[in-house]
Amino acid sequence: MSMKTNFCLLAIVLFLSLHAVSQTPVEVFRCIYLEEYVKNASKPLEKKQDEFALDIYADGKSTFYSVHEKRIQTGRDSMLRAGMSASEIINRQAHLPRTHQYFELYKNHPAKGTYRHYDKVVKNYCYEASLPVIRWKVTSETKELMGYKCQKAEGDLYNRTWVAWFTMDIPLSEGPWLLAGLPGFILEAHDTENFFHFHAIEIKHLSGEMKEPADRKAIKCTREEFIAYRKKYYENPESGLSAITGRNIKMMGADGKPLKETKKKLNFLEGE
Amino acid sequence: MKGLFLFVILWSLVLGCFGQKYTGTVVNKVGSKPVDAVSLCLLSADSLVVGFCVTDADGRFVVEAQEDGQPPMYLSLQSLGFRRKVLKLSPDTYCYTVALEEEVYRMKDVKVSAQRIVEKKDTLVYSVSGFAQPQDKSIADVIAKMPGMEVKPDGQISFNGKAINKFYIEGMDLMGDRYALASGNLSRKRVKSVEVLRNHQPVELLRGKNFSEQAAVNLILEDNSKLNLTGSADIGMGASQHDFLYSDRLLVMLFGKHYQTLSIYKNDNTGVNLYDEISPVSLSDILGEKVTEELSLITPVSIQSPDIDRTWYIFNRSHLVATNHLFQLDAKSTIRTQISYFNDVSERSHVVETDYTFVDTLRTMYENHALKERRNRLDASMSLEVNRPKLYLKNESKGSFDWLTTASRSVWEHRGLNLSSSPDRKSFSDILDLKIPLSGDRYVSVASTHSYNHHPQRLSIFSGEMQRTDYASFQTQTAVSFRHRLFRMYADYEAGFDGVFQSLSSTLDHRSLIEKQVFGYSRPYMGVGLSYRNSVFHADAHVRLEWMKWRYGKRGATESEDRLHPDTKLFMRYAINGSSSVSLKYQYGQRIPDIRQTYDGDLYTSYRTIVNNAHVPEPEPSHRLVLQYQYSQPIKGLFFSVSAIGRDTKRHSAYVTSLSAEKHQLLIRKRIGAGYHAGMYMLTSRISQSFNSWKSFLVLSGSYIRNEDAQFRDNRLEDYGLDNYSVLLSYSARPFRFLSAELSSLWQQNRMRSATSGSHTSQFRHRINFTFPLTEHLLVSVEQSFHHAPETDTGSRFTDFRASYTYKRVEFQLKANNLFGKSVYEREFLSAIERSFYTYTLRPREWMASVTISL
Repeated sequence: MSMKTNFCLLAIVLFLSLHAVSQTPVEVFRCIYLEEYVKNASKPLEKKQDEFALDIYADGKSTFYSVHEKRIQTGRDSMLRAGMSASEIINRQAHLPRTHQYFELYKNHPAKGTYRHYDKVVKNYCYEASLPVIRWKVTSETKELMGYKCQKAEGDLYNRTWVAWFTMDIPLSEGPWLLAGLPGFILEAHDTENFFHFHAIEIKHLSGEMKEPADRKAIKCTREEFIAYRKKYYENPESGLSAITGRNIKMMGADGKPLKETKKKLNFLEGE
Repeated sequence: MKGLFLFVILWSLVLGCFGQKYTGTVVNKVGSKPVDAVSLCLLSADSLVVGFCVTDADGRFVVEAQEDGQPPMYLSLQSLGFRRKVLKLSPDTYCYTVALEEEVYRMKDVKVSAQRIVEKKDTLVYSVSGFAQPQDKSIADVIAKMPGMEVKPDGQISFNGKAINKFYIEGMDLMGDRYALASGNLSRKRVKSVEVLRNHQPVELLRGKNFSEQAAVNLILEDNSKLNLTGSADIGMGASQHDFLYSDRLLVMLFGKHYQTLSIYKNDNTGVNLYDEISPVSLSDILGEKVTEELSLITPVSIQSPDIDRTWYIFNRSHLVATNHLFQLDAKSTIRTQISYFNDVSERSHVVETDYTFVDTLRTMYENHALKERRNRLDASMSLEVNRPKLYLKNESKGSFDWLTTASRSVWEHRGLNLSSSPDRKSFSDILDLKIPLSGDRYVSVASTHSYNHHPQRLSIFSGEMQRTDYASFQTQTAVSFRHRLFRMYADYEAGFDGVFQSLSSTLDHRSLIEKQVFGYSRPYMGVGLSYRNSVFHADAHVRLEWMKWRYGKRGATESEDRLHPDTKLFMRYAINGSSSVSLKYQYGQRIPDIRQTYDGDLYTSYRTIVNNAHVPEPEPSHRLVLQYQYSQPIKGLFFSVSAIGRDTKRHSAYVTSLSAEKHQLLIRKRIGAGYHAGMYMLTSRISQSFNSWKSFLVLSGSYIRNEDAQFRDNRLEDYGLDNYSVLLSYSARPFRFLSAELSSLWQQNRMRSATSGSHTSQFRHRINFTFPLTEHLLVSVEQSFHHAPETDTGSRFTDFRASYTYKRVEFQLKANNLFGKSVYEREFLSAIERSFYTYTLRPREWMASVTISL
């Protein structure tokens, strides 16, 4: 066997082993939360539902994303790869539930104590920030959730007061969205206005790997900038759209006349 | 003094605990390396967290008890990958170094049924495992326990008070209006979830243009029940005092992407009503009924069916073969074929004591019937459906042949009779629906229904003579409509034609009772409608102008009349908020009684009942109003609906009832011309709520129905009212792992009121079922039913027992019905003319052993 052949074989084995290492799935603890939320603050009785997954990895990283939107996204990507047209994809996904909660959180990523946040307001945005520290006040109230004894705690985060029910029987200081830092796992959480309510409905143990969105075109910004874009867009879609796209955009109705602006007071997890 | 001193010391120690900081380091037991991100908690005596912190990168911590909490007694340390450690705090130690031991931690795989209903836009997804109880076998059993859903005795499913308009399996409409066969036979273990598609518009091109108020049900199957051939085989044998019993079933199903089939063979002689499984159920809303198969004019003997389970009083030998196939030609086109054959011999016997309320002197008539019915029924249908955004085409052809022969050994007023009849029925129908969209939001629609019914029927009467009746009917309904957008509404224009052509003749031993009579009408019409919908309000208004020309009388000597009249429909629905809505439906129209209500001549409708409907047919104006309130909180599992229905009809004739003067007093009912208003008023409500605690489910429903009519008495028209009240409370729960309970109580009262008479009858029915899932495989169940009629102080009690053992795909079952051998069931009935007391003979105690193999 010549030296050249040896090098080639070595290169192949090295590549395959590196590839295998990079693909090795790790243990993941997944909690599915059912989220009931009030999108439009002026219609507090119109509750919507979504399902969020919190995947926690052994290295302390975790991701939090909408299961419905992820399903749509994953299906769309694979259909695009299969060469299907946009209309075919839309037709095939028409029956799937959509919630339009696009945000994805990557906690303790890229560095410990920070998080990366992807979201969409017309365009895709990405920002990084320090994980907030919530000053939880633990109370003596208890209840049982999913067979676990849970204790109540209250804390403030981004202009909302949150009530969380955590269990020490699950030794993970984690919870839905950015709610964490309690000496146990949060199985239920809601804000005091009850605009957002997360209930854990399923916990499982699986293997997988953390995957960030493949879209590298996400606009990098700061948390404050993103909150400002979003606020501007939802308060005044026309000028918000112009600010985001940099073009002067007029929104027209089906009759060709300019649409009347309907100001909605939308709720977001950040009460800012 | 000493005591006070000790108290002060202790109190200062306790106070000293608050605000006291505990510090230290956490290290790995192996290698003594510091461990970061360890959760440390100060715990009270009852293990509540009163303070907490997390170790830093060097494994150090500082933790302090909350000021308003209980005093700390323990220090708990935990981190993923380490065994949890709890230390008892020493009163004088505030600095700790703790070594944690590594441990592989696996979370408990927990799946909760707490969130059993998930709301996704207009779809509610009910988890089957979240609602099923151990005793439930079919998916219909579980649907009946889902809040907001109701399964009627005939298998019809309704959602929040309205019948569903489609029953899909994996998104395909295999069963059409015969879905009771699937819901009653599909094992609940094969279904993962039940989707309720609210406001479901099945026609794709009408979505967003024509709005439905009805829901559809879609069964989502478990993965192992999709795409491959599945089924089950049941073999059951048993014995009663006199008979060998059998109950077998072979079910074959395939739910593929492009082809679905469900085929079944069943036989049974344990009283189970197999015909109900293939009997079509209504898919229409309250005011939208379209009947294509007509009911029989005659019955061999007048029978009131008891309101108890058929398996208690029918002695049968039944066979049923049904096969249903759905072929998907392309993504939007399907062909469905359904064929069923039902062969049945059933026997029942009862004694009736009847008191007529229209006669002045009280006289009780006694009858005793041992009735044997032989039925052969063949149903076949074929349906083609193209449901595309650019075309909707549906054509459904149906044919039914019902050959029925009855023989009854009867005793009537101490006279033995051998009665027979053959009320055969043949029916054919074809329904065509074509919708084509035009540019914009416009579309045209052509719909036509044609049906033919032929009833060549024989009936032997009390005298032994044979009555032969020949009834034929052809109905046609064709309509063309056009819909377009008008401002922010939709406008409809329609033109159509309805026609009915009927003939009836009857002879009694070759003597003519009714010479061939004909009746027919033609009704061309034109109409306009407006429809508006926004997010909270929906309104439809339709006005039609109909010109009706009808013809009646003996063949060759008919008379005809005509009339122009309006027909209006109004529907409004307002969504008060996301949870509740109110709706109103109003309809005014004129319906003409057909030949079955207007024939001239004496027709025996049973062996001792003569009905003569001779009067001039005239359209009857009718107002109908339906008010409905619906409330639903799917997340809380709470559904409530209340409906009020009122109907007022102007009648032009009323019955006069008399007994014949001869020895054997026949019941003679004759129509006489008279103008009055008849009314029907109904108030129904139903509240259902599921609770997470004990997986319990509660239903409270009530109804009040009043029928107001009139009849002649002593040559005067007398109004009378029939009232029916009922309240049902049912509850099911699984309080313990080894116990599941179902309880239901029903109270019913019937009242008949008129100026000269009044009577009432009531009953209580209670059912208690206790099921004990002793192990994962072994299940024992006991069911008790109690019936009590306070007026007659009669009551009965039935006890059934069931035990089953499941091993992998095989289930062994042992059943005992009517364990205490109750032999008769008594029930009193009220009508406008009589009060009758029935005594039914019941099936004896029976034992059955069966094996079910799931394929």
